[in-house]
Amino acid sequence: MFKFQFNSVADFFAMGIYGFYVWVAYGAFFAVILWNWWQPRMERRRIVRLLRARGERQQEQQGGNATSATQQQSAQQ
Amino acid sequence: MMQWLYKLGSPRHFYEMTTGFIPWLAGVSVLLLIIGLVWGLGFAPPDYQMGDNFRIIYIHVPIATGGIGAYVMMALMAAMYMVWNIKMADIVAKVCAPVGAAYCMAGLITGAFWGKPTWGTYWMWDAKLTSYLILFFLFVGVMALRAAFDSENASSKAASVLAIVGVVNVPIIYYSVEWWNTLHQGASKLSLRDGAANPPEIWVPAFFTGFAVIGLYFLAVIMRSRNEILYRERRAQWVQDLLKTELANV
Amino acid sequence: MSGGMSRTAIGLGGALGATLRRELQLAFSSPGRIVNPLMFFVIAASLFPLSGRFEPALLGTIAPGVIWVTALLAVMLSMESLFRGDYDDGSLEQLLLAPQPLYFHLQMKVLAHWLVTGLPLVVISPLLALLLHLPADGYAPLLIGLLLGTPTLNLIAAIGTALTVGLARSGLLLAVLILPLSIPVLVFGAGLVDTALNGLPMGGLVAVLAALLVMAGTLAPLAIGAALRISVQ
Repeated sequence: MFKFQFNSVADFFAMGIYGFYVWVAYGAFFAVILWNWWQPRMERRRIVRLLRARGERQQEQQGGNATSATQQQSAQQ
Repeated sequence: MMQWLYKLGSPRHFYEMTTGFIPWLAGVSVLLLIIGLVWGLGFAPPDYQMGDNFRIIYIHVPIATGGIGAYVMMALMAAMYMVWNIKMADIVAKVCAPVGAAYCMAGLITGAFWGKPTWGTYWMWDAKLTSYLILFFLFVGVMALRAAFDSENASSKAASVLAIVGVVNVPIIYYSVEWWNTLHQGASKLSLRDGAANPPEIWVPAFFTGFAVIGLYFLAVIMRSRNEILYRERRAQWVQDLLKTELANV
Repeated sequence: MSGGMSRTAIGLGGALGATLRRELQLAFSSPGRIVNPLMFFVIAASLFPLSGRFEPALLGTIAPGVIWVTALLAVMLSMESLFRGDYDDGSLEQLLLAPQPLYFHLQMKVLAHWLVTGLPLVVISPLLALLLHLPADGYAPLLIGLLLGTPTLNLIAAIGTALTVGLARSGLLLAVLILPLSIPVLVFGAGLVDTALNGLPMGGLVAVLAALLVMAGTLAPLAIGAALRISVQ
C-alpha cells in the first residue's frame, strides 16, 4: 500500500504524461490556500497600525490644551 | 453548549476564544494536508483509466465542495443576521464571501486542468460546471453590493438579502442548466466515477486533504473575522487594551 | 406626489387600483420610460446579424437566444425608473409607512412597470423574430415564453433595483447582481422556442415558466420590501 509509485524524481514531476495539468492545478490550489492565509495576516497588520495611529492622534489631542471638542469627535469617527 | 454558542455570538468573546485556537487549527490542517498530498501525489496507485492525472482530484473535490459550503454558510449567517440581528453572524457572512469566491476560483481552475486531458477540453457547458460558474458570479455580486454602500448597517443588510435570494436560486439554476444540458447534448453526465468502486488506497488520501481544506477554510474565516471584529470594535476599551498588550508588536 | 391622501379611507382593493393607475399615469407622462427599453431591444437585437456573416438558417437557430438575451438586458436597463422617482421625491418613504400591506403595493408597482416596459417588448418581439429569420413554428413559443418570462425577470430585477436605489451610480452593479439570478428564466424561455422548433411538446416548459412566475410573484415582493427598507434609511 505504501509503495512510492515513481521510479525517480524526474518521473514524479512528469506525472506520466500529465505533469503540466497536475502541477498547474496544484499551483492554483496552493495560490488560493496561501492567499487565504496571507491576506488576513497583512490585513491584521494594516488594521492594528491604523488603530494605533488613531489612538496616538487621540492622545496627542487630549494632551494638547488647544484641542477643541469638535476635533476630538472627528478623530473618533 | 448553548452558553458556548451564545458566547460565540459576541464579537469580543469570539475574538478571545479563537486566539488560542488558531495555531492548533493551522497546525492540524497543514499536517493533514501534507499527509494527504504526499500520500495522494506519491503513494496512491495511478488510476487505471486516467493515469496520474487523477491526482488533481485530491485537491479539486475538497476545494470545489468547499466553495458550495461557503455559499451555504454565508446565506445561513445572513439569515441569522436578518432574523436575530446577531452582529457576529454578519461578520462571518461578510468574510465567507472572499474565502468562498477564492475556493470557487480554485475549484474552477483545478477542474479545468483535470478536464483537459480527461475530456479533451478545459471547459464544457455542463450542468455542474455552469452552475458552479454562476455560483462564483453570485459571490462576486454579494461582494460588489457590500462594497457599494458607505453605511456599514445598510451594506450588511443589503448583502444579506442578496445572499438569501441567491441561495433560493441556486437549486433552480442547477436544474435549469441541467435541463438545458440534456436538451442540447443528450444526458451525458460528466461526473466523477463512483467513489465506492475505487480501492481504498485511492480514496483514503482524499479524506486527509478533505479535512485539511475544511480546516483551512475555517482558519481563513476565523482570521478574517478577527480582523473585522478589531475594526468594528475599534472604539471599545478591550480593543484599546489589546493594542497595548497582545497586539503591541504587530 | 404620492396621491395617497385618502388611502386610509378606501379599502385594500381600491388602494391597489389607485397604485396601479398612478403608476401607469406616471409612465405615460414620460414616454421615454416606455420607448427607450423598446428601442434598446430592437437596436441591440439587430446588432447580431451585423456582427458576422450569418446564413438565414444559422441566424434562425440563434434567434431565440438573441431575442431572449436582449430582452433580459432591456428589462434590466428599464428598472432604473421603477423606484428612482419615488426615491428622489420621498414618496417611497410614504409607501413604506402606508397602512396597506407593502407586499401587494409592490406587486402592483412591478405589474404596472411590466405593463409599460415588459409588455411592449413582448408585443414587438415578432418583428425581431422576422428580422432574425426565426422559423414560423417558433413565434408562438417565443410569445408565450416572453409573456410568462418578462414579468419574472421584472420581479427578480426589482430586488436588485430596490437594493441599489439608494446608490448614486448603480447601473453596472445592478447588472452584476441581477444577471446571474436571471439565468433560469433565460434558459427555460429560450429553451421553450428550441423545444418547439425540434417538434417536442412544450407543455412542461410552459408550466415551469409559469411556476417560476408564480414563485417570483409571491417571494420577490418580500425581498423587494426588505431591500427597500434597507435603502430608505
